[in-house]
Amino acid sequence: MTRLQLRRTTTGLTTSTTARTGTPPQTIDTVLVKTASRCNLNCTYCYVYNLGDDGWKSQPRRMSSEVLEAIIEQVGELSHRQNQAISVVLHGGEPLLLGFEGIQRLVEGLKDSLRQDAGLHIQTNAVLLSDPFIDLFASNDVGISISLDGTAEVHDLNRVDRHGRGSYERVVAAIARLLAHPSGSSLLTGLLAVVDPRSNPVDVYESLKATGAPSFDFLYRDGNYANLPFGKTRPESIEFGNWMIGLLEHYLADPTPPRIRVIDDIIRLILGGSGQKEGIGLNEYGIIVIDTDGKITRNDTLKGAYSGGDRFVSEPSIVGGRLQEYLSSTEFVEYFDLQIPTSPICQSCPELGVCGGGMPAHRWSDEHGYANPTVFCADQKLLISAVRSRLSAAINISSPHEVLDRAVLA
Amino acid sequence: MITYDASEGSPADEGVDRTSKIESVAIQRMIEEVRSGDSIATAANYNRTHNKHNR
Repeated sequence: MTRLQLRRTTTGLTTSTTARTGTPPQTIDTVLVKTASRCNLNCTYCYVYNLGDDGWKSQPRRMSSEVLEAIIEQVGELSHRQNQAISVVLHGGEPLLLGFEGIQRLVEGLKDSLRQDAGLHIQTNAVLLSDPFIDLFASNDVGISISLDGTAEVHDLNRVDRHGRGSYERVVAAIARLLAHPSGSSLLTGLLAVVDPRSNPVDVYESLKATGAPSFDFLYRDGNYANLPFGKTRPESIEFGNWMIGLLEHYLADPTPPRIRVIDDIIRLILGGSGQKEGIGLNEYGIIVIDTDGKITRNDTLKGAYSGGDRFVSEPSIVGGRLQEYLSSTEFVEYFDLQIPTSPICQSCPELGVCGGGMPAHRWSDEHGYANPTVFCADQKLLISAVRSRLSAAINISSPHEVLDRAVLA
Repeated sequence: MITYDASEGSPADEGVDRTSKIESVAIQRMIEEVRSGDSIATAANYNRTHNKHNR
């Protein structure tokens, strides 16, 4: 492959004619391990179950010992072979549905096999987060991120169990139980909330803050040009942008603010620093998924583009295959290149270095594939503009595009 | 440089230069982070696992 390519840097796009196929293996920074393919909740907006992809139906309910052992061996080996520190995230479905014994084997095995600077992490709805699990995670330094959408009213609108009952009380009780553990406050990495643009962002912020969690992150409702996200009336509308500005104002005025990762990333990028997660900025991230049956797949959020959008054609598996070898394959290279925004609108946008074109799954249209701006383009422009404006006012400079050098270099 | 430890309570503003004219703690600490080259010793449990996945 020798096509002219846009390459990501922390400051913007550059062009390169370097052939990538045959180059050294892609660097991986995050490995998602789908320990269980089912969930004990049935959240209305879930991209795994309720956005059209039905790949979960053909998956085993839980990871087998064979798959667990292959992950421990091969992901551990990968962490020693590359310079980049690696993060392993237990994910689902609901990862705790694997059961205590399986989670214990995986966590303790990875603790032994991974390089010392690797991170172990779990993303859970917390309903099954019992004291034995908390003890296990404390013993193995497993960071815990919990899904909580804000107030009881907002959370229980969507995060319901199979009987339609809200999960808020159970989740908040689990957070309190975790924070009561001697290691709890250092284990809780933060809360992950999905934005409901009909809600009050100040109420959501204060409700999340009241849990005692040190940081929050916010996700937009999944969707694209073929299927607009819930709450967005048309691609040009700004429901999510307006909601985020309400959140921004309250956050910036709070004398004791927790962290909000998505807003911190935008501020950091405007100030000339680097973003820290996918979907913002132009850093290139290496994210792979090990599905419950051991298949290696693309980023699972791509399920939200079209059914099967997260699968590789060759269906590589961590059982009987070599993870390291797949990372040099053409389809892996093409998958990683998917992060690069290819829409002419993005390529000429002055905010591309901060926005990054958004999540690839949110760029999808039936007509142009991923070659679109994010469906949240108008929202992001509004939010980024608001952050620039607030930064300019705070630092007392005349132009928001002075990039705040004065503040950073002072 | 920001060196707070979340286990000691709210990570809000420990380590932030309170003599600054910038009133927003959230902005002030990001300026401190970028000034220090993004290599700060941040809260023990903030981005501790290098997770880049947006879910």
